[in-house]
Amino acid sequence: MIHIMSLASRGSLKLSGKASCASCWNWLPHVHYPFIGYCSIWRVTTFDDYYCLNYELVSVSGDRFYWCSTCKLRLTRDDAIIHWNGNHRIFRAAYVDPDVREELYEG
Amino acid sequence: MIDLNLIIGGPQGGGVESAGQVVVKAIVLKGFNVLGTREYHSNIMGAHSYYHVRFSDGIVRALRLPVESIVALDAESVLTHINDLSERGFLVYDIDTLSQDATRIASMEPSLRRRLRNTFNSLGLNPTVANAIKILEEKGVKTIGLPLKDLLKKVSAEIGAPIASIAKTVNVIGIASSLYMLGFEPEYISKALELQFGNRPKILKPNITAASIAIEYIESNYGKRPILQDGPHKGKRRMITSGNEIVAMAKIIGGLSFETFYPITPASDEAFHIEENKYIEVEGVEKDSIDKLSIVVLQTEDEISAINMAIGAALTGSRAATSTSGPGFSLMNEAISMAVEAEVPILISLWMRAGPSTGIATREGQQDLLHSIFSGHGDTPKIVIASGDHIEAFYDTLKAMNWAEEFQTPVIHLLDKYLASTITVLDEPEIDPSIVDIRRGKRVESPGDNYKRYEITEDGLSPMAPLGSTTMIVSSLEHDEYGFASEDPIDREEMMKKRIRKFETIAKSIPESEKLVLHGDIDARITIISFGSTKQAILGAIEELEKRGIKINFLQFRILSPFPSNSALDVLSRSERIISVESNAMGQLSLLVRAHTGVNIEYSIRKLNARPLYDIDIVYGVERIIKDNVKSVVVSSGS
Amino acid sequence: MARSWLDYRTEAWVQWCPGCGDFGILNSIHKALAELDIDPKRLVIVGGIGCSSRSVYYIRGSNVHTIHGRSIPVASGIKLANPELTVIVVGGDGDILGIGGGHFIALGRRNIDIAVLIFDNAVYGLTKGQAGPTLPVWVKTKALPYPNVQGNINPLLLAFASGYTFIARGYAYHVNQLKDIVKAAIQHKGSAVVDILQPCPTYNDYMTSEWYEKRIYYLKDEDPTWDPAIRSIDEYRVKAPRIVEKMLEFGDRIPLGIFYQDLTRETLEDRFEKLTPGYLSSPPAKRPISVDSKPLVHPFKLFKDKVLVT
Ligand SMILES: Cc1ncc(C[n+]2csc(CCOP(=O)(O)OP(=O)(O)O)c2C)c(N)n1
Ligand SMILES: [Zn+2]
Repeated sequence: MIHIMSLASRGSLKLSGKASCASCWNWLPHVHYPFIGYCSIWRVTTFDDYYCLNYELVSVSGDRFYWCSTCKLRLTRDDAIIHWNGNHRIFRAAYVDPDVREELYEG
Repeated sequence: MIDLNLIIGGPQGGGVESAGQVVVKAIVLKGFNVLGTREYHSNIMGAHSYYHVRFSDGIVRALRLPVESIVALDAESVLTHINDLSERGFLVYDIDTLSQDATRIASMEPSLRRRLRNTFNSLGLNPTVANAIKILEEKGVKTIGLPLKDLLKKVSAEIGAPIASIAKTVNVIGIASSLYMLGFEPEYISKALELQFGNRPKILKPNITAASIAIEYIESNYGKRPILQDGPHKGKRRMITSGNEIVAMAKIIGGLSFETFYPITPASDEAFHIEENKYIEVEGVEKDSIDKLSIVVLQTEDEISAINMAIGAALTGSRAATSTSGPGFSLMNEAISMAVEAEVPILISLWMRAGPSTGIATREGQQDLLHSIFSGHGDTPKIVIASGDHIEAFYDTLKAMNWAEEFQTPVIHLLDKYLASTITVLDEPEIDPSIVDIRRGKRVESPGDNYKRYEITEDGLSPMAPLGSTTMIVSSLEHDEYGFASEDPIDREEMMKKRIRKFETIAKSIPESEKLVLHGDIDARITIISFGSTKQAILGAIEELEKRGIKINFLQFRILSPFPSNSALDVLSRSERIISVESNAMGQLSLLVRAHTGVNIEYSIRKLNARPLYDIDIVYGVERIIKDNVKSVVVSSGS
Repeated sequence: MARSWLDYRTEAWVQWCPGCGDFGILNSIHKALAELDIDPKRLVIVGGIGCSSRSVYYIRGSNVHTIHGRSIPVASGIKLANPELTVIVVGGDGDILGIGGGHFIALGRRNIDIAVLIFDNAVYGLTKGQAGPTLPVWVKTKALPYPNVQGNINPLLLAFASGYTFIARGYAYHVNQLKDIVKAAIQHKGSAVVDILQPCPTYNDYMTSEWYEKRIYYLKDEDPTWDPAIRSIDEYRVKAPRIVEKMLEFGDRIPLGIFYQDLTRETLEDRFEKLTPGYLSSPPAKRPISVDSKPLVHPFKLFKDKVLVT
């Protein structure tokens, strides 16, 4: 298992503390516990304070769905802009356990 | 005496369910009795849900608030359960949630958010987790702040599992901390995890690691904990089961061969469990060609179809049943009436939930008593039986299937959401199916050519031949003895009388001891009356009240139709003060008792907030009634 | 000795209006049953509520008269619990397509081996002639105070969309042709529906025998090569458009006969047998449920996964 932090620290790029998974476009925070997430580049579990060379700042631009982890809502772009302007934490998507149905109750 | 309660809270979908089951397993392994239930919002991912567990070396009759331990690894759980923790208890929470504020938790019910804000503001505080911790600590509660992220990082570093597996360990970190604090040896926790996840090594391993990391953390920060002595039930073969499951088991064991359903909470889990086990291996069947028997389980297009299909199957001689909850039962009404007129043996398991209408689909209510008794138009006498607990539910299912066939009638088995989702542990002798013989009544397999489906008999019961055995007519229209539609006044009167005689036969054949049970001292001056799943909470309350010098007995109504009027009157006329305990607003049992016995039930304890009835609710209610002389107490505990 | 159609009559007096199309339908059912020589003891006629549903009293069988609109679920329960029985549903357009419409659709999805005979008079006969689900919009029968403001459904297309594997239309007064269609429907393995056009002289003065007889014709008469059978997916692809086109035809010309017979689809009974072998030889109605009044299984044995040793 390669540790992302160590990978990043071996890299030459200067990384500010802010440039962590927590604001990275490639990162999918867990739907319930948003400090843990899935890095779609490295395809591993990371935490919101990890960082690496592939960091890419989240932005709301393309016409697609976004995830607001503050509101726990899936948003269209127009909606996402409003949340973004309200300083909510916006991501590309949330990570959901594929077996989540085992933990859900019927209604 | 060990008697402890705990709550594990969290977002629905976040692992609360499996964490709760692991706790129950660890408790059972440790030799205790246990009761565990889940409280949840209707299928909403992320909404708050919680598992509530009580365990003891004695009998565990009901859940109890406040609890001794709460695992609350998200802000909503801390704030939601702030009043549920005993001052002797401890809270396990995540230190990273301290700054979170109720007013900004998206998933929280707005009313709860408002209540929290008002309460906190009145203390000059904002409704944050940090302030909640402060309040709890002032009360004397021990708080255990876990650095959840760091612990998860350790888990991740140690095993490098994918995120799904790592995130799943959040609640295991919580429960391992809690169980260790309570004095469970780590082996019990890992054994319980093995039982829970044994067939899925990818999930098991991170959880085992997480549990040991949590325990290590607690040990080094809070010291080694004294070990809790094992409970008295070690070295036994025991079964863990929910109400839904035990009814499914009883149906399978009792020979059910046809079950229909339309999905509805809290009933469909029962059908699910039957379907899971619909292909069963049997031994000792004479027909040696068969070693596996199947049950037809079918999801229908609606509840109307569900009951009508079961009726069709029953007419062929199959043991048939359907299960539903209030909304679906409403749709079944017309068919129930047909089953009475056409004399069809059918079991309807009615899992009550909080109404009216869709109400709160996933919460408790006992509001369908009168609906079930009076379901169906026309004069439609039928059997209605209400089970008080898991063991009763097991035997009642077996009996109900017998009665349906013996008396060629619909039988409605009243159960509810609380029983459905409550887990308990049982010993082998407690569910011995050989106690209830399988009886099928006056069945004829090969009737002659001149078969009268509705032959007039003294006991009102006509020999029943299955469809396909001879020519006959089964009819929902008023009919003559052959089943031909008839509007003749004599035919009509004879058939009306026949059905009434049949109902009298039912009333006579079912022993009084099945219909109602007097628990406690026959000479007690105060009597509680109730039905259904309130039973154990009432028994628990009686024990508690006895300690406080108040003697009470409890008349449990098990068969509500035919109503045991005389036996009820016997008991009630001896009592000075009768209190009805029921989770409905109209006092449905009180109305029924008054209608059948003329006894006016003056006192009542009601729970209307759609949460389970706790023993302490009843203790509180009885004390209010006795000491403050109030007539009616509405109890409001529960989160 | 083979049975005669007379063996399928009962002693009950047939309570229909004089001139009712139901008489013709009843007779063609009697004759179809006789030609198939079905044992009345093993025959289950299931009716709902309506004039036509009363046929359960007029056909010798092991029959069930149910409630309004629910004959299909009751019949389904019977057939699934004892697949050896011949199960036929009889009822009106109101019963089967109106109040029972949801069940009608569901049966198609299941493809249980049941024949559904719709006595389609486009009105609610028993309740004095209100508009039925097959009465065209703007038609004002003399029983209606105003013209019908609701459109009619097409039973054949509804059946096709729902998955029925045998779809036919007959005419009540053509007893012999109808007998052959009913026979084929009963013989078909799977859910079969026959929409039987039936004048109701008492309440439907619009769709009269003259009205029908000006319009009806047989698919086979128009096209002697007409073959409704589908034996493969390829055959389905080729034939389906033409079948649908014919089903759509309902106006100046109304085709009769067998429109569609899919021989490729398995029944629900077959699916159960596949999932749980032994179902067909030991179905719910016939399987043992106890030995010497004791259960065949014990919970602690059967549900081992719930048992743990403390
Ligand atoms: C009479 C009745 N039966 C059952 C239910 C339980 N129930 C609630 S929603 C639902 C089905 C939901 O499926 P669908 O309509 O497809 O909606 P979806 O949730 O997929 O959007 C059921 C069975 C009910 N509320 N009322
Ligand atoms: Zn937002």
